[in-house]
Amino acid sequence: MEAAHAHHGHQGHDDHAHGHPTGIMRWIKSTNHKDIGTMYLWFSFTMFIVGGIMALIIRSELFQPGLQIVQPDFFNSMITYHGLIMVFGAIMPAFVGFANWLIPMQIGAPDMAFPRMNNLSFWLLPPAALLLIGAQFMPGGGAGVGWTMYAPLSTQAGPAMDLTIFAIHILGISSIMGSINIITTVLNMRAPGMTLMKMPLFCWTWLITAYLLVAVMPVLAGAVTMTLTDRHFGTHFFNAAGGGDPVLYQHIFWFFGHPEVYIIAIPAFGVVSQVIPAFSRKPLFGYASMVYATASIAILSFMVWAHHMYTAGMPVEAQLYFMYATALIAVPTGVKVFNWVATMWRGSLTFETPMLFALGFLFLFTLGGFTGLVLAIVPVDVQLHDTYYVVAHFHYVMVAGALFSAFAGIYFWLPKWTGRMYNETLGKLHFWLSLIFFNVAFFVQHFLGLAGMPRRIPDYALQFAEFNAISTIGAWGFGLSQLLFLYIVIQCIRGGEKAPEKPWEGADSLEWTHLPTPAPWHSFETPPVLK
Amino acid sequence: MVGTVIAHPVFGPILEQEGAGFTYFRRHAGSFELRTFTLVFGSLALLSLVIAGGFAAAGAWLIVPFAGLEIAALLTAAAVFLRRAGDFERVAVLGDRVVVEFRERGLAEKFEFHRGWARVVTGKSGMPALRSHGRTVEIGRYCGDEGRQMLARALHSRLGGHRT
Amino acid sequence: MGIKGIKGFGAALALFFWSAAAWAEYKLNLQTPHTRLGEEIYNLHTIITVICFVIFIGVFGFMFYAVFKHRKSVGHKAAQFHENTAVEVTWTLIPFVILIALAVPATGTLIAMRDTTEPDMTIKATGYQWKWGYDYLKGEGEGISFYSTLSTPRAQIDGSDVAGRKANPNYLLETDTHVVVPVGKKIRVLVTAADVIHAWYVPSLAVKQDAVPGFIRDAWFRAEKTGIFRGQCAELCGKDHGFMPIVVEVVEPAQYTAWVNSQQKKAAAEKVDPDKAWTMEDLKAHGEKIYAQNCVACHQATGMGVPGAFPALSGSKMATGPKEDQVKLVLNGKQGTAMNAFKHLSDVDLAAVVTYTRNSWNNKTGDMVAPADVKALR
Repeated sequence: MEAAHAHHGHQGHDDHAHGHPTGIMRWIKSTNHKDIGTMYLWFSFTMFIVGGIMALIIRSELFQPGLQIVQPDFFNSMITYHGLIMVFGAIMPAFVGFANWLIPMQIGAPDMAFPRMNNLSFWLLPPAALLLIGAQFMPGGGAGVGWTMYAPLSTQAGPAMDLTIFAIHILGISSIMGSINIITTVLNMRAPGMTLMKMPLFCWTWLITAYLLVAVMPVLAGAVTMTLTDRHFGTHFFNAAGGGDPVLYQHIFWFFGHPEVYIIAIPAFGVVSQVIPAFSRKPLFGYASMVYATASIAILSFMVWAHHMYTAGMPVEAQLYFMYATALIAVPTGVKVFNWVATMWRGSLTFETPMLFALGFLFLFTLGGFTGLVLAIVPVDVQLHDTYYVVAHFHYVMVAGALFSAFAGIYFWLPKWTGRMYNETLGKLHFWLSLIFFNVAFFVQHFLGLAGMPRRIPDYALQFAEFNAISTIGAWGFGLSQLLFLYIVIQCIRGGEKAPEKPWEGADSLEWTHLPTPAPWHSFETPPVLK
Repeated sequence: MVGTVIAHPVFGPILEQEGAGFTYFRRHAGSFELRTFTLVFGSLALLSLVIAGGFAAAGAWLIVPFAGLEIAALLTAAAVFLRRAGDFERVAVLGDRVVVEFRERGLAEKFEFHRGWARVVTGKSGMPALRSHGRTVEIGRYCGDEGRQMLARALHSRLGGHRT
Repeated sequence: MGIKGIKGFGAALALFFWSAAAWAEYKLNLQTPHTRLGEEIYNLHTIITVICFVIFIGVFGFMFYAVFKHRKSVGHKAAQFHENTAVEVTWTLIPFVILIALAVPATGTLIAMRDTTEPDMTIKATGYQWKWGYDYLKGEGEGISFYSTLSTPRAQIDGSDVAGRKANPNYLLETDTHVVVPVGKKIRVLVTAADVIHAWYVPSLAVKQDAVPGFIRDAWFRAEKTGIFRGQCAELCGKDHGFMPIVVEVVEPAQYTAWVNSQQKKAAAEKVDPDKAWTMEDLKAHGEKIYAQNCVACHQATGMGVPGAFPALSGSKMATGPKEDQVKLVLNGKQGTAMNAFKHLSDVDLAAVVTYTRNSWNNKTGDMVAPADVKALR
């Protein structure tokens, strides 16, 4: 076996010698799902750094009361683009990267269903990112409107807003193409015997995510286009003076925005559902109920959008409905958490870095879920809406949830992708630093919110000073810890130890059981034979 | 060389290394089922329309054109895919003959070559191809770039002029 | 190391939760409520948090038990079970029951919160970029109307007076005028905005309501005790979103009556005779005040604006060109920019501020805009 794979690597070099473009053209023209997956992941990491720098500017300004480092306009621009870049530039592409790498391998397909469209989906991202970053340099600076871009604040913003809208359109096109590709691949490209209910959960979560994305992207595109026409072409969708309604924008945005939250979270569930069984050496508990729970979460996500707008003004009956529907999400989410714990129960656990991040995810995501339940209750939300409690809540589900899950996934599949092992000691160090600093940065924000500190303010009353200082220290620690992650990944790629054929004893999906390590450039030339 | 691939459990039953027999078969869409495909794409299109219609009723009609564009994209993807859904390719080395059989965009074709004369060459579009007596047939349609390379190598080692 | 870390973290977390209950005054919980509804919300929050905490301990008790006892390093062999219908149904149903138990009190509180009928007094709060305007619409004090802007000195904010900031207990939470209301009365607040969305938020009175331009929303509170309660704008509204606090002063009814009288007297004294013949100097002096209240946040005290974001007035075409155009601009605002309509200001105020800008800094037009000119262009 060992010798065979040495040959394999050699062949890989041959491939480049014949016919394949090398250097930069390889990447620009690549239609290979692994190349594209790699590009998605590096793009996402780059955006994570850009968005992270913005976060550190925000936190540094908030280190002490008073305006020290930046002016309010710039501060508002930072909160806006930190949000947009992290959501659309970092987290979403990271999971699309996983999808590209893993779906064909896990279902036994040679590649994605539409490889050329796949290439285009990726290459739309860098221009969109440049637009978002370039918006900072427009006259008047970036648009200080928040990632939610509420009208009419967005209609009075400067030209940076137009660039932002354009960027969102491009990102939307990319997402739709990527999603159609994933849906088609999962439905049609499975190997014989790989029925839907035998697919690894990660493929299921992406099928559901892609479905959600296709369903809601036109809504976002429409929302920002209406903002654009209100700004330049004299329409009055969101302008009360012309017969429009600013709150309509919020309904539209959150009709997209709430499913978007799950678009980020559901693939994270998928990754964790691969990692936990592998390190428990035990099959995933309740596979079928996991699939149904994921689907229920997706369906519910269309019915709860207005819980982001309890204070915007709506009839009390609507508030009651949205409160009940939102609380209902706790049921399928609970099922997932219970299933993960039950998977570990009576397993044979080991705690390599991927497992640590998965456990970090499980623990902190659940905490974020509980604060979500607190926020679902309208009377309590009226106190906490638009305060730092909400900021803490969604960073628990986005950072400790989605990002930790992405880290778990990267450490888990890095040996499969590169054929080399990362440094386990450093990986564990990365986990503990991330875990501790994350909590230092965000746990205290619950208290700030409870005490009434509004979000998106560049300066605050003195009673909030201590916790803000702590939070800033945590944020810097968390940010710097990610440089360690970069080092670990580069070290692994450049000179990591050679990975064994199956580095994780308990891993049981096709990419581990049916493909050599590192995975060949093309996954399954011919369909694998499944029992 | 090809043995390295075949040694792997996945490829063993499909690509046979020993003896003269060699069969490569690949369907474009392994698990295609018209019913599921229609259900998923159809429900997505319908859902987009319902959502856009709902917002249009509330005054935000500009979502409708985007939903329309998206349904167009879904239909295009479905059309492109459906045309290829039943496509397959079979390359077999049977005794002295090399048989290439495929269905592309619904059209079936079959070619036969003499094993001693057929050569693996690079076709016009960069795909590997079999050539003999002025006839050229591209092969490796549904297996991606690397698969093509492997298929080409596997055939190469079995054809007349290059047997070692 | 790993296990100790997790243990330590768990302990710290538990400590945090306990402290949240025990040291409410140490800013670890909701602000002390001063209305009955506020107390209900406070208790509701406590109940939910405790329930969540108990479930959290339960679930992660199992997880940590598995982490410690079912690890490979202690020689635990993996069982291979992967489903159990009874267990799965149970843990789907139990959350339902808990949620229903939560929904009942929440529903009661919510319905009470939204019942704004039969108020003793009605006050309208209008959000502007970046201050609040108040109009007492009904009840004692009807007709009182004023603006309320941040009174924290700029020097404390920009860091030139750090000592002053440190000594200021109400840094960023103080305004030049307070919303004075009587204790024990049901106050209905109509909330709206003139430009973008703001939100009227006073934590200790348990009120938060978005202020949406063109629409009127309402909320109410009945303060149980006297005191000064502070809040802030809670919806991102542009540059000075963090600098438009709300201060509500709850007083005894007698004190309230006295305040109403003093306000009415002050209003009468300030009421300018619309036919008064204004001199250039008077207008400029009045205009400077109006400018400081309404314009300075963007156009700056120097009249130089903020390059790229807010245009300069000093030497600008608008403030030195035809005065009718400037009056129209100030009245109607400019669509698609941060320049809002200022129709809500009086003819005198607008005339004064336009006169001031046309005759300050580098602008020496010598023009005087009379209140009647503004009225004619409305």
